[in-house]
Amino acid sequence: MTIKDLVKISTTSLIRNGVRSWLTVLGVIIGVASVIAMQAIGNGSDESIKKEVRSMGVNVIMIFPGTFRMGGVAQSAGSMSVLEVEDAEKIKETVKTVVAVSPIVQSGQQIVYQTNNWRSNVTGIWADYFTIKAYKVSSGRLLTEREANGMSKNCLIGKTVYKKLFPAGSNPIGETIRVGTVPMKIVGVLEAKGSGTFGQDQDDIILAPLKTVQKRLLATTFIQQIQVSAKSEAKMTQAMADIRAYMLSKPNIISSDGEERFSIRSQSELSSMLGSISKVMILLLSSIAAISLLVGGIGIMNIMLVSVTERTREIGLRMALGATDRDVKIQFLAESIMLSVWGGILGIIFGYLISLLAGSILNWPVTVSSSSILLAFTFSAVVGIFFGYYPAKKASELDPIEALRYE
Amino acid sequence: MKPVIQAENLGRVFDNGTVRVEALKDVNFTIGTGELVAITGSSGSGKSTLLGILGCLDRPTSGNYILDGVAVAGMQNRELAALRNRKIGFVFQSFQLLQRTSALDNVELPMLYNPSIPEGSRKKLAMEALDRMGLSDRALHKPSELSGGQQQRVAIARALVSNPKLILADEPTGNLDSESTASVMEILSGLNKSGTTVVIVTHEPDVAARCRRVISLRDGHIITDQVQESKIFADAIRVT
Repeated sequence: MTIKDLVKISTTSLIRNGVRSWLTVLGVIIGVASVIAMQAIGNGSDESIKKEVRSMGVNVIMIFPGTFRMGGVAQSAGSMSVLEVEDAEKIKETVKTVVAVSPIVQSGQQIVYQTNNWRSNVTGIWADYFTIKAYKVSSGRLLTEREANGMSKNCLIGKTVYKKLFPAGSNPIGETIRVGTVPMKIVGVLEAKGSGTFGQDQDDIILAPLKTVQKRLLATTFIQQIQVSAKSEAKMTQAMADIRAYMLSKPNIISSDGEERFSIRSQSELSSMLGSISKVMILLLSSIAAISLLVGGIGIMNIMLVSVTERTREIGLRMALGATDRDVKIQFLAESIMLSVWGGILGIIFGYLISLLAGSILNWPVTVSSSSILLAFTFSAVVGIFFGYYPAKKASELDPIEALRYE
Repeated sequence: MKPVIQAENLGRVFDNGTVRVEALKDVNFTIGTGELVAITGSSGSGKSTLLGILGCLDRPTSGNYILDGVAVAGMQNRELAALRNRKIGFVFQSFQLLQRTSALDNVELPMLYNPSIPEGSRKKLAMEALDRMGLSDRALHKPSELSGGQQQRVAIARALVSNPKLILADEPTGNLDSESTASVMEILSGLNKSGTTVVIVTHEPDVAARCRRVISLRDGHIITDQVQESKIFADAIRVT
């Protein structure tokens, strides 16, 4: 029996039981399509998280005073004084693995423009901060280095602040707003960044020169944080070590109970944490999809067992005419493989369409990877062989005399 | 005359652990090339069991069966399948045609399992066999579109398509009316005249009467093995 004969025999027999074959194939289609779609959606979410993390800044390293504890305030008395503007200057001068450094001080303030007012966060920064956070303006301009590093009363506002204070369509550039008690002139509106990973509004923000915020608004010399941009992603670890070495060279940096009075965190830690969450999600979704593919395989086995029983006489006849047990086995195996391979091909197409649809609804960059297509296809072929083998073996073990007499 | 079938002390015992049935005991006979033999007997006489062994679908539990010079005992299933394919043409009582397949495809079926016949010549050979049965105009009909007699002729075409040494017919006329019976018997004796050995298993005396030699079985052994010289001419007259 040639391959051509096999294909012909299985195709005719599958077409004869059209509805039944389609329903069986449908089981595999659903399985394969969901594997493809789940992978694509999962990869898409991974991609969108990565994109979001990137929008938060480029190779960012954060230096905090006091020990950093998630969920609890762990700043010991006087910890604010650990970090000073001078540290930012020194890091910029001495640490070669960093390209941009900015001290940060933040404060919630009431913002007033004419009769409108809104409570927002004012962040005092240096010009390097725009590089670190990849800030761009949608209108106007960024603060110049001279403005940002000096005591200028110019500021930048986020999209949300603009919306809350100004009538739609009006031009805020050059207008003066009152931040707390200090009047400031708007020189630019920041490009929207959307909501952050934790749902916070990244556009509800006012950026102003560090010194202006420190001196005029808060009357302090402390800073809350220093943010640094490493030269490259590969240099992150080195940069963190360099900064740590610098920090440890400061006096009184170790508290009486032996704890370091600062902490250094990086953006990549956050991104790898989020990445692992999305990997778990992909795995979970894919295994659910794989289970449905398994169910599709059981459908194949079921229908093949029915088919073997129905065609007992045919099997007996073929054996009498000279078919070996191997011929019979291969014939039935070919049918089940054909079912699963068609299911695989159609499933890939449907899965792709579902992914596109889901992508456009969720607004995710959905990517159907060739590896997931290959995986789904291989898996479906394996399912066909695995679940087709038992019925095929059963058929090949029939006794020709009894099979011929079967009613 | 070179023997096609040599049965030496054939025995077949069915034993399912609790019941032991001796279906065949000490069966001895030889059928030479070109013979037309009927094997008769009532139901339970062992003729179906004997047919199974002669057709290489079953193996004797004792004794020897030599088909066209090949000892069947001790052969693997695969070798038996090849032997059936090359040396035996089966004709069954219930025709055993694949229902939703054309007559032509049905006739082609045995050649699917014979690698020595090239794929390209199968259709032609099948068509020739159908033509010999006078069915070339029915080649693309499905069995359900054919009469019983025509279906059995398709089955005979399938049996002779690979030029077997032996045609084994199991109650070939059992499902046919008298007219079709006559035509099928005519065809079988015609094949026999052209040199093929034909063995017909039947319980109908009428059919047996048309064969030159009749082997009768009862309770698993041969009771008579007769050559009926006088019947030959009677046959010829009745058939024409």
